[in-house]
Amino acid sequence: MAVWRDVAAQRFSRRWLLVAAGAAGLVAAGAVPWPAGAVDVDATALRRRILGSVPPHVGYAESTGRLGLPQIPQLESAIALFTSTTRIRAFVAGSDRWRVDQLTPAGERDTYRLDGVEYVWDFGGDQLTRVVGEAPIRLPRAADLLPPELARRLLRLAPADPVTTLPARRVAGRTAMGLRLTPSDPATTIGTVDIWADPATALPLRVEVAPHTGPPLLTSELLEVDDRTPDPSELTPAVPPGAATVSTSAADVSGALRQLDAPPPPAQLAGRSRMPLSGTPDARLPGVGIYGTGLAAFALIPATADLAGRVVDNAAVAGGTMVEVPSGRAVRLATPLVSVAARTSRRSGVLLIGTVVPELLEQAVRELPARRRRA
Amino acid sequence: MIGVELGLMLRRRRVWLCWVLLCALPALVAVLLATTRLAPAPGQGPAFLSAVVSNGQLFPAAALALVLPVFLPITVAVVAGDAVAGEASSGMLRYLLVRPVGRLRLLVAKLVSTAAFVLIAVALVTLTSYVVGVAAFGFGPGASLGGAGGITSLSGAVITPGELAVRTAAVVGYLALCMLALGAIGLFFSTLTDSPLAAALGVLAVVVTSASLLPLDAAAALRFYLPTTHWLAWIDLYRVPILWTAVRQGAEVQVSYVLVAFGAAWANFATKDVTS
Repeated sequence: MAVWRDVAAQRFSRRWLLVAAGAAGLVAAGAVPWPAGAVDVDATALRRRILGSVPPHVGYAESTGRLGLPQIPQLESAIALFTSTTRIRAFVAGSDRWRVDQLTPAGERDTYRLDGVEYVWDFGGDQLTRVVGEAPIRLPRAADLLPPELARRLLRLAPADPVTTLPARRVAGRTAMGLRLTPSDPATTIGTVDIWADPATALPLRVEVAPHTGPPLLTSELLEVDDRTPDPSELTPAVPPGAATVSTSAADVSGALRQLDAPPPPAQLAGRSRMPLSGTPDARLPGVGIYGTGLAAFALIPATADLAGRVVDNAAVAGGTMVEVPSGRAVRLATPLVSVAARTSRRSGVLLIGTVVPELLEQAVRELPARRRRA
Repeated sequence: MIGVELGLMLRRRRVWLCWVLLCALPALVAVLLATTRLAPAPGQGPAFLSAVVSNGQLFPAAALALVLPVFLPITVAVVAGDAVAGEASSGMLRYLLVRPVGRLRLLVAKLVSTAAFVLIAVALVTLTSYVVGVAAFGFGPGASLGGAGGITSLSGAVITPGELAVRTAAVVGYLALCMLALGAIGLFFSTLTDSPLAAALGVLAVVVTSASLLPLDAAAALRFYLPTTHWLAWIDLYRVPILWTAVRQGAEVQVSYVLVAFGAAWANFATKDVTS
């Protein structure tokens, strides 16, 4: 009897060991990264190469943001880009011929750029929108978070800031060489920007943006990439039967802002000069100003009193600090990477948002004149 | 042995009841949508449901999205939990094993039977909802343009009838695999207890735990390995071009669950003292 128990126990343990080993092997196959090969990198040369070209590629990326921003009415989808995981598919033939899809569980929102014209396909709305003109600033979209675009945008903003070499790592099945950009302006909330790029094409494959302390709060990575030029059929928006086709102008946004009748933005706020804005002439944004340079910049955006009031309330609930202003209510909210301030009075409001320390936005919100309607 | 188990499954009334109920829920939703025309707003509600009122051929996808989170897992839990524990609770297991039937062979037959159940369940939901969807909402705007049979993909391009059939078959296969992973877990639990109910509840506990961990940032490191993480990857099969990344990853994870859970069932059952 005792012998039978021993044999049974042995068989029992051997079988379980086999299953446990198999399970561990399967988990390890997915979790253990392949070692990256050695790559010689000159960080300055890599930055130059990244900025110098837009290599054609087709790929799938995921961007994860943990910025802890409060809900801002009418900006929910833009805020979600920085507070959740966004699935992105890219078909890029060049800087002026590309398609970027934002993939959701319930549909898809695709942005096409073809020879200077943008198209937006929205499955939920069953509508293709042709966007004419270009606004000087616009809300963030999934295409901005694609690693190549995000990397180029951040590097372009800080051309003089120092870059150093990072160890290579495996990204999208390739050994990628890395560089770290460290902003020199102490007013920015961004501590480091880490970029890994393909050694052959300098295509950025992974971007991490971290505050001065703590882990990265915005990470975007191409999980799969193919260095092929997309097929023209992949870059041409389709209009399925029954779908609506509409045309809109970037100037429409200007019109909406014009209705607010906001005064011109001050030439200087919190010691930072207002920067000139580009964009097509018909798409100027009244009342909007960008202050500061590089990675230490913030935007001033006019808003209705109601919207600004709701932002003040939401920010206060999210742990914001109330700011004493001569008239109305104001609040500033600090997150590790982005600061937000809002001010509302009886008839108008204003939002300030940027990658600057919250004290700077508090100073700006105090300096703003009471935003009365113009006669 | 496998033929015997399949025959046994097909003769069980509870199995047919599960299939009928799975098909009835989407049909009820179709009737309600067709009569009220109150579809969810775009981006809200289950996937595809907002779009089905304009094209009934999308209804199978909406139906699968409807039954996937709760009803399909419940039926799989009931059937898989009953696989071995049901024999034990009815006192049949020891007589079954007296016959010259290896325990591994019995487990394989039970797994194949579970696989057949989930495959038939997903296929039946797809087929019945196609018929109901077309009857309730028609073939879509393409019908008047001579393009009857096509649907609008999530990317805007039209999917032809042939492509739609192939993609839908792939969806059925993928979802059957996802449910088979649950079935294998149920089979394992079924070897741990003589109570089919306890085994079924164990499967549902796995589903609830996985769904609860899914949105937590703190559980991000586990997310890839959770069984429910990949359940919605089949939606990518309705994009143009198809995005295989999530489907492939999901299939790998689900196959791993099948292998490990079946291995655990075998490890436990092979030397278990069967007294019931």
